[in-house]
Amino acid sequence: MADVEFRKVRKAWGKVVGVADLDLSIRAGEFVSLLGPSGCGKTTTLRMLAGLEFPTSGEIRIGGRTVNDLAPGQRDIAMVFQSYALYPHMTVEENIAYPLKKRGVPRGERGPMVARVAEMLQLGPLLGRKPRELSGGQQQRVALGRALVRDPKVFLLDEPLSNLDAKLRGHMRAELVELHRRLGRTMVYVTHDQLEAMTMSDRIAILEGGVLQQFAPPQEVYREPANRFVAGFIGTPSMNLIDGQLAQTGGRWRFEAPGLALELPALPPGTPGGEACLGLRPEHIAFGSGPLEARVALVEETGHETIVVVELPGGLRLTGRTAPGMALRPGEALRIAPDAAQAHLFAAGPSGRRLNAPAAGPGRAAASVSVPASAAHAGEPS
Amino acid sequence: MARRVLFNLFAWSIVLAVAFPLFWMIVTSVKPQFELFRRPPTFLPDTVTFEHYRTLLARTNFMIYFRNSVILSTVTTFVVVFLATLGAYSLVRFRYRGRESLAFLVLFTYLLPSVVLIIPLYLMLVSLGLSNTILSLVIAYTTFALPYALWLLRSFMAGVPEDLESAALVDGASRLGAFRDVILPQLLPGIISTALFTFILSWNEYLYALVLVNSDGARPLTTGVMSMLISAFNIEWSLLMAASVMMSVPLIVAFAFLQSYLTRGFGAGGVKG
Amino acid sequence: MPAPRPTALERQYARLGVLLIAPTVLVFCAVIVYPLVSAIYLSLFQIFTPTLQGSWVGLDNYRALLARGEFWTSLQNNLIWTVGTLTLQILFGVAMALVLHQNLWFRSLARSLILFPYFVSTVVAVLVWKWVFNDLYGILNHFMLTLGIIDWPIDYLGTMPNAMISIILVGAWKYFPFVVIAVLARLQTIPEALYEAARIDGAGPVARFFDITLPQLREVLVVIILLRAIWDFKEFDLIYLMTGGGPVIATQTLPLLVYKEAFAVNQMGMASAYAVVMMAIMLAFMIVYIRRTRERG
Repeated sequence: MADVEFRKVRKAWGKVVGVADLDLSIRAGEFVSLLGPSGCGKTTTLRMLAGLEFPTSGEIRIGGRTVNDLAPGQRDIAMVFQSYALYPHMTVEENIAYPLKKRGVPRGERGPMVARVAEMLQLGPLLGRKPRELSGGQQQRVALGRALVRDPKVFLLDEPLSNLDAKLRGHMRAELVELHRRLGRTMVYVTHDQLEAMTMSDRIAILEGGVLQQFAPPQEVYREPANRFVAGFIGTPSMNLIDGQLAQTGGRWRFEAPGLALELPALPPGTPGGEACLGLRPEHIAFGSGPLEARVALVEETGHETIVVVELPGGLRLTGRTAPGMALRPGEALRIAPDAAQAHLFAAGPSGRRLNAPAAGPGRAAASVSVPASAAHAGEPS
Repeated sequence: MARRVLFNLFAWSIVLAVAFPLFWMIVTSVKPQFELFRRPPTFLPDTVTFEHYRTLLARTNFMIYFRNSVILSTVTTFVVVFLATLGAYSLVRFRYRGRESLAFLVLFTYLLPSVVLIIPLYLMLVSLGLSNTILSLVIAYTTFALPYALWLLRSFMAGVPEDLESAALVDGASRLGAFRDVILPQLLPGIISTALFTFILSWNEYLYALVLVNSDGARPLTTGVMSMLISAFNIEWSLLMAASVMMSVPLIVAFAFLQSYLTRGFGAGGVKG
Repeated sequence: MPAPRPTALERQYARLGVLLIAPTVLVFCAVIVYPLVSAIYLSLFQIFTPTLQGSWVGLDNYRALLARGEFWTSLQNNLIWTVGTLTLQILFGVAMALVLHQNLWFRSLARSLILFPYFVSTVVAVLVWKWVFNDLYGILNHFMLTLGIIDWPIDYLGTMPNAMISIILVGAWKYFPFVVIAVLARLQTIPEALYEAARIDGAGPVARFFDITLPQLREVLVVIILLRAIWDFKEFDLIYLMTGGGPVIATQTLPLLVYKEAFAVNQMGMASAYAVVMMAIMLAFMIVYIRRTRERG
């Protein structure tokens, strides 16, 4: 068990920056996900940790030891690849035994160790087969087995579930969490799937354009996104992000956008006015009553809930979610109530930082919403 | 159905027309000498005889040429494939200054005509005292076989997933260990294919053999068989055809057993880049 | 910002990479780069082959060769040969690939038979064709006479334009399989859905060929043409063995001229100059090909 630390780690190919001055401290035994869209630098970060890519500058430490100059094999890590990277010419047994062989474990001791892993992953009957004779799920298990057979300090997993079908993926998610709980080893998990990151991790590191956006536990990332990028990236359906004007009049903060005006709870002193971005999670918009006029644009029934897209008189669209069974038809007019107490506020720009403190609790404080006069008239159903 | 039969007849008559000279070579080689000059010529020999093969093996230098060709092509293939396998691994999987220029140089020499190199090579090998030796031909053949093999293997090497090597490194192997344990087994079909091509290329080479060797002791099949044509007062076509068939034996063997490797090499060669 | 310093591991890997390529580089320098440079250097001398005695003549060889009719004739022959045989290879190769792409009986046998000429030694090919072309007992003259196409046996290799036509045909026969295999490989990757869509849109077989097959083959055809143009241009064995450049110099191409100048006329300096000029001409094709390969690689 060991902690992992990135200190000002930078990776650049000429002018192209893959990872920019990354500072990240992973505690021993922690399950950390590196999450972000493709090309955000998450895989590069993992490969640098593994010793498969070389940082342009900065320091990487595992268990307090700088590993920059160590070969992958000397770092005491194990890795599961997205492609599984099973050795095609070796049997399952030989695949799993390979790390032992390379580390000089005597032949006689390898058998029991392989058998133990095979039992844990239910690979027993497959030991004599070649990888190409296995299903995707089985290959995945073998890749896992090859990582588990030793007792490395850190496990690295590079999108290990992305090649599985949805059902198997859900099953393996639970199994990996269970595995982590049982082994208590440090795990670094790269994924582009926020569901995986949210359900499995102790903490999530969200990367975009090679820059670390936020590093926090899943619930905090969801409830208190550090900036506009994280706010938009985490959550399905995505948070509504509305560009508008923030102004302070008589000690009260007000956010205005076409068709929408919202009075906000107190903001920290020194908050700048002017252009800003308001974020509203779909679940923080109530339908049926409220101060805002809207028209239903789109209804998606998923079964356990209904996703509703409404259009405000100014043309702004908001996504909300309600319990199933609410009979809504596109074109229908209705009133909505955004929950201003749960609103997030970000500085203008694509990665504007967070401006307000998070809401105190999950409760819905009464919103004080007023409708701009012009919008109210324009939105009158004819 | 009728259309299919018609199409097959049409297609096969073209295929057979293309293959006709080869058929004719074999037929001629087993005809008695007198039957060659019969008019009209017989399509299938009236009498099949192997006397020309016997003459070829017993009374000419053919066996010496054949032995020379086998040694020459085998040595060239081993040397070239060994060098090119290591070189291709380096070119595809390592980063160092000058790597790009080297890849460019390989491609350039792959296209370079032999006649440009032949004069300086001739002078060089003469001054080294190597003229009229099989070794001189091995050296000369390297000039076209090495770029060729490198180019082919580079493309095969690029087809081996990089993750496999990465996995082996994480599992504790060194670079060379990963090469031996993981890459080499994956590369094997490519190596066989490259070796096959290199061998055939060396087996068929003519120009260097013509310029660098003029003693029967070191002469390979290509120039050797041609010298039989030129030196004969009366051209014995049956004998030459028998020699041609014998000369094509390694090729026929390759076709019979290793055809998939031949086609694979084609794809990796020039066309895919 | 301090200049990025590679890690010890990175440097160790780079050293290993250099070590692995080192033998190849040494061999390259010894047998390719050095001779290549010498060829250019030699072209500035006048050298008598048997004695290897030379004297510096500067660019005189180049001036002389450009003024010589033989150079221009050879270049012209070289171009006729290349264009002629290349055109036939491409046309016949594409057609044959289309045929072999169909559901043919014993397809793999047919493919082997087609492939054979490409792999067979040029020496064998030439011997066989010389026997087929033989004016008295050759099977070709027999066919032609029987079919009544000709009244008198033809001399295929000893007269013009027969000799040029003959070598072009034999060249096409020997090298078209390369085109077949390359095109066939590409044909197999064209999605069947494209043809189905065209069929639904009412395209006949001819329209399907021009609207789908040909555009899909464009890329690979360009590469094949470049590569074969380079290889055909430098062909020595086939022409030398078929006609020796004759009658007189009617089928003599630049590679044959280089050989003759060096080892028959015994002027190595002049021969080198020919070789250098020939390479310069080929360089145009080579650069285009290398550019293309690099873009896609």
